[in-house]
Amino acid sequence: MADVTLNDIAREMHVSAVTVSNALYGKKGVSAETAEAVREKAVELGFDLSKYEKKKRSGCTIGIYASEAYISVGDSFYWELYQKTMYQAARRHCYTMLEIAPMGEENPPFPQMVTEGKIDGLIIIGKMKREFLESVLAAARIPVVLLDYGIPELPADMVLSNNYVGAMRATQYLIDLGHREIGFIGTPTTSENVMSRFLGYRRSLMANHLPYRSEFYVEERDRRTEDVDGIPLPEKLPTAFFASSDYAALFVLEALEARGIRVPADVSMTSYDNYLARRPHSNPFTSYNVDMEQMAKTAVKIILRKIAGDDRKPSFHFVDSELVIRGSARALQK
Amino acid sequence: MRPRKKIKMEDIASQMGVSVVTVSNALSGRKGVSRELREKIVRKADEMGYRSEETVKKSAEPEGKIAILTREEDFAGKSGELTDFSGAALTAEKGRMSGEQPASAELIREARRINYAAVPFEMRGGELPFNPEKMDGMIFLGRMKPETMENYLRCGLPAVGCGFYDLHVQMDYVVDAAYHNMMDLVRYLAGLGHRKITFATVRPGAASSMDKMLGFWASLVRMGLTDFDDQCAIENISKYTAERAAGCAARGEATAIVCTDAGTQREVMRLLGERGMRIPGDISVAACGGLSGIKEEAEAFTACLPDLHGIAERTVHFISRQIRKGAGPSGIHAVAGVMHVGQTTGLCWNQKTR
Repeated sequence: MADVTLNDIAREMHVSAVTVSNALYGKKGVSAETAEAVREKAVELGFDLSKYEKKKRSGCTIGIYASEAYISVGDSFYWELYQKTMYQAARRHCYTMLEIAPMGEENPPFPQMVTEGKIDGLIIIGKMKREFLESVLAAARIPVVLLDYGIPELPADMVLSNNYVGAMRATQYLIDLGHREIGFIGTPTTSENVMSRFLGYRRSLMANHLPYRSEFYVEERDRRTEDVDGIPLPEKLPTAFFASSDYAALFVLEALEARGIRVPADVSMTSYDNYLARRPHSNPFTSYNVDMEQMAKTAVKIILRKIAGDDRKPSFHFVDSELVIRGSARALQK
Repeated sequence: MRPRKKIKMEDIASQMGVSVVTVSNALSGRKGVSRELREKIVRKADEMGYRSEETVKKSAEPEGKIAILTREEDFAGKSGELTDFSGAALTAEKGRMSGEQPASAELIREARRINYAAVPFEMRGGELPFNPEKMDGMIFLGRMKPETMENYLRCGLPAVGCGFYDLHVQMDYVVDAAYHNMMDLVRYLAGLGHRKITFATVRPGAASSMDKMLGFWASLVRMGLTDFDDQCAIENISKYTAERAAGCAARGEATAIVCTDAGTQREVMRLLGERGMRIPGDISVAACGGLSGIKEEAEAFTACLPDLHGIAERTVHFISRQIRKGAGPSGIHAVAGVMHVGQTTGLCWNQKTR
């Protein structure tokens, strides 16, 4: 069936096409009743209104949902990501509304701002339970974007740091410095992000024909509780480590120092995030940058596009960046 | 090739000290202007870069020019290093696949949409095949040696790599999301009830094959079909040949096979045929990327294909961002593939007995 045009509506309503257009755009010269009737007719006939709704998109309200754990402490990675998202939305003349998932709850409650119809789109920041995300995606009649967390099979737009490529960049850097024995630090089973970083690390080894050595694989936290309690470093160390986060790298650094091993003199390290909470200016690691600003920008751009009626299939959006070189890795002397 | 301030007839008239009507008459070849004056006005108009509305409409001169660079040897179809995206496209351009939209045609179309003219060049040796003064940007279509790219980048033009990436050459890249596409494909098969899924490749060394191996392994872990702690299994996957996969299928050890590309899929299907196995009755076979160069095959094969259009659109987006806004490189951008369900996959045959 051919698309419904302005003329079709005009013919049905016995008015001119110009009147229809003015009515849909909300311009002057059309009485409120006629405008309302035209809009109703347009919906009835299945006319594509997305073009006209675009006009209204500034001034919409974007809901942001994040875990209390991240927001309460302030000065954390997610606090900063929240702030940047809020800023990007404000720059585009949108309001934002924050709702927090209470700490310590196994299943966070359904966001109230969605049920109360207070928002035009929802951005969920950080890791959430799969069941929760599924229920939100199934019930929300507004666009939803997941920021910095993704589950591959979920039908949602996901904005992520380029975990796989970032880990490759950090590992390749060590290889280019002459390192051949490179360990991994991280617990991939706790998060999709870390899993992708682990595979990026493996990909670099493969591409450079370096064997994977399981004795140099170190999990820094408990798989279930995710608590960090002593790093089980191997007795014989590799010449370098790639750590899946600066946070993990910090624990390893301390564990190494406790054994009298110096970084980078004895062991080189690269890591991921380029972010250490509360010590932004004393991050010692050569680290892959998570470009929070670009991620926030992308998330807001996508949600506004969706609010405006874009019906593209949801997809992932990876934000790449670069390795920030500091002093934690050195060239290996042959 | 930046758009200049538009020159009007008034500008010419004031420069020449004549009336606008005279200029108009002179340029449109009407009477009332001496031959001498007309020639002067035409010369002046040309010099000032005047273009009449009509000429603008007629020529619709593009804002700039972009070179699409492809390697000569890619056309020979012998390179195993090629990514699926450009590889398939280049094969297609050699005329083996009719009626399909190859990569550079997509790039040309996308460029035109934003008022750029994209022109394909075959690279021969280290020389630039065009005058960089008359070009606004370059698109490297398909993997090239880093030295070659560095050499080309020396001319200072904005550049985007399309269909591949190289960590050692800093620029924008737009690639097929091979790793994630493989996860999509395995998930699709799992949705049909398959639990015994194996992998096959005839080109384990290719960059994208490695991404697909890792994507395959990650999918199995996600679905609980492989133990995460069995990490050495990753390296073994690179040894999974077409013969091995066909053998697994014949012994009932697999009900579905995922292949890295159309070439592998073809080979696997040939070997299965030799063993008298029916597709998809006995075994499902799907590929991740790698358009077949043969149209009928491309339609029949179930595959997660590179989104040619999406990749071209992003490539042109990034090059225009550099040209128009002077933006610096922003890294590697992966574009999700599109599932094509053909006739080579079906419901898992032993699903009921499970």
